[in-house]
Amino acid sequence: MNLSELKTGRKALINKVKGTGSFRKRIMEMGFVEGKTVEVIKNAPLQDPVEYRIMGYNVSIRKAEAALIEVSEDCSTQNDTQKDNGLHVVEPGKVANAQRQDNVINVALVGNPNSGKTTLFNYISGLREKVGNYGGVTVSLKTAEVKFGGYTIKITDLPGTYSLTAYSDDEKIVHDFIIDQVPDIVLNVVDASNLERNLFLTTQLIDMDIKVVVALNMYDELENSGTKFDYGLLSKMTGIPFVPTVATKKTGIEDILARIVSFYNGEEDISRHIHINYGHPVEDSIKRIREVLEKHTDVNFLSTISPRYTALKLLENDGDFNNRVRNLSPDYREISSVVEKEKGIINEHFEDETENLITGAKYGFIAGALKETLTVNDSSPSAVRTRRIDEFATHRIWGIPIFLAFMWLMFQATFTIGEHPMNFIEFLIDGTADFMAGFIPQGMLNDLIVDGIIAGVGGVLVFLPNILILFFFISFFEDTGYMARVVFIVDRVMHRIGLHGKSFIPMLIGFGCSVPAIMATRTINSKKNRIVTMLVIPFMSCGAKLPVYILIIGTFFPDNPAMMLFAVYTIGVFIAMLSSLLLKKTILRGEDAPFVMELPPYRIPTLKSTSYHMWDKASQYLKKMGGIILAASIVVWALGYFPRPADEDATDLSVLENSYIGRIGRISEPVFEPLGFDWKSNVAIVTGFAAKEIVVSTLSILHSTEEGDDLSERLINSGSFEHNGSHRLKSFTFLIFILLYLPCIATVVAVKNESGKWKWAIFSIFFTTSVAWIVSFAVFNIGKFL
Amino acid sequence: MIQTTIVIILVILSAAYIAVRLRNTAKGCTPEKCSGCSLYDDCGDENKKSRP
Repeated sequence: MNLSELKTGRKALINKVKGTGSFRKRIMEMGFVEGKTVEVIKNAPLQDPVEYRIMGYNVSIRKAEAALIEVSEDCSTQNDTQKDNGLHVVEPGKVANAQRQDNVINVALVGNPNSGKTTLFNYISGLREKVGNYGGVTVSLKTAEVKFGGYTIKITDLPGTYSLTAYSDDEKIVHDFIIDQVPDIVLNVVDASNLERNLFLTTQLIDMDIKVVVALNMYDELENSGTKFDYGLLSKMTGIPFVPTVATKKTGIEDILARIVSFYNGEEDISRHIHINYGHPVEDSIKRIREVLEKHTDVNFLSTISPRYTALKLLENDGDFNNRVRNLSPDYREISSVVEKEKGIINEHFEDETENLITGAKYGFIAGALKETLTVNDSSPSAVRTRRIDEFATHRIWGIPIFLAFMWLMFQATFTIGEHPMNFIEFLIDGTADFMAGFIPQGMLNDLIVDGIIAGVGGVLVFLPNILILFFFISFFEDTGYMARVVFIVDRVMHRIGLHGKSFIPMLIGFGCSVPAIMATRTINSKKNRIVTMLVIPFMSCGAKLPVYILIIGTFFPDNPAMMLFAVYTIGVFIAMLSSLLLKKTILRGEDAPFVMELPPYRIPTLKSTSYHMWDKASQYLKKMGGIILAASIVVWALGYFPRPADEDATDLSVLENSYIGRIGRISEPVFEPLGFDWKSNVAIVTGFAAKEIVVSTLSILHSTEEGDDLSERLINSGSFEHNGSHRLKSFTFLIFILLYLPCIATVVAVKNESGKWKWAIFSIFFTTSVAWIVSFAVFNIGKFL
Repeated sequence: MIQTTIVIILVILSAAYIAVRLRNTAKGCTPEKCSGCSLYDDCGDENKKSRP
């Protein structure tokens, strides 16, 4: 039988993983190897994907992929039957790195996704890089320096990876960094509560023959679970220092730094290199390939990369290593023929592919090592807590209503709790405006400060509390692990409309800002799927659009603002899904890639982490206030102020209409007239290209001469959004256009950088704006008949 | 007259600021350097290192 046929609550032994290529290799690296026990936890509310438990962690796999895993339910014992291969032969080995004895130690931070690398990095470095309780948050390099024990430790945080095979761009970053930069020490961050799978990466580092220190992160979770772990013994067995840490509580940080320094100086007694023995005939093949490599390959290449590791990678059919060897060896053909011959010998002997045998042998090594050092307690408080919460959070009936309720709560809180501090900031801004109006003599400068700077910057500043509240909730969902469950709940819908599974995390990040979201697409290994995701991310409602939403919804939909905000966010997601489907059926046809996602245990976010997230968002927002929004407010005001009329009795409105900005607005009227927008709205839309918040500051400046106590009243009195006595249709059309139209310039540049071509950046401008125009046109014209 | 001069200087400076920020953004400023997404700092060189 296959895994997709296994009923909920049942366990089975894995017999074989079918399928081909990267999916097969990836799923095996995540622990789906012959002899392991897998348990069906539950189906998602829409029946697909399915949550499984293997090696003590939970993972979400679609049924189509689970069908490729052959299992046998007839397991008399519920324990894993994979044997310790007993093959961890210890050999003295050379150490490729850490030979340089100076005061700078280069450290690379590597580990599985969601093992806490960035949290550790933040505490070591004092930086505040983004973290979250799900994999895929870090997709690029981040470097920091820290002084310790007379040394400068230059530490580089790398994206999370399950193995060192370069499938996707983020994994390639890790792989290339270790190979090309040759760090002195690799700090391997391991989730102590999930050792078996995490140590797979460690075995690859052992193969690489480099100096490794292991941080047993989240060690408190292991201790609290009642699990016993003799990490000292494992250190002796592997020749690698294992240091317990709890990055969120800053525990073990000093120990880690001390072990890095002592290891670097060669003062660690346990330090030695071991080889994982892959048995006969794999070891014989490795030996023969090593010999041919040493004979025909550049000496410099093999001095930085272990020949044994290179031989293994060639046997595993690793494309990147094949290319490296091809480029550096004039006699590549001879090497290649030896590798092919050896693969043939191994395949004939085992009737299986070499890469699967190597993966299986590594897990055998881990099983053997842990058998002697680890006593697991399955009923840990953390596991029980996660199971209990998931009984509701991912329940087949209640899962979706609970998700919708959380979303409603988030948007409701954004308005209701945010209202009071918002009124207070508004009061301060009005007071400042009144004071400045009286303090500075009447004239041009007074007009600039009151109608330009205070109206423009103040108009956006008032929304700071709302933004903080929204990001408090988003940060809470991310840090607890609920975001990963949201992906689990809605996966089937996304899959049906053709959206790539790995697109979820970038799209979720897109609720914060499109730029890091576009960078997060590096986790997607298919180029076409990656470009589709980049093109639809701007449809997600980023934080910069929130002030526009709050202004328009608060002004024209005061009865039910949370539902309206929820509707706008949902429309964005819906349009992203439809666009994805359209692109995948037309210009970016490609196969859907399998999606395997870990479901992390629920964790209670620390006050510090949540405060960091909120402060980070607030500081970015304030930085924008004092920078681009201030400058844009001054320029927009000037364009609306000049040229000055000859007639001194001219009304404010006629001055504005005849100003430069008035003329720009009129020029753009033919484009926006079918959508019902007046020239002031047109100008606000155009200025929003620099940053979306500028839409609000522009509206604030252009309506500053209207009657009313605040911007909302002035917008109503201006009649800009009035149609047949109601403001709702035009304002809703305006909201839809702002939601969907061209991404800000930073996003356009991010698309260019990540896709490597201006073609896609320019396409994203035209695509999103065309979609915005068509949808807004439909909304306005259909709405007129309702 | 003084007010007009100050306003003209401020407007020119603001326009120049926007132009420089947009140019730097076009160079490829990303959150690695800026630790956020205000993205109007000049960090093109830093970003080249971290892009695959």
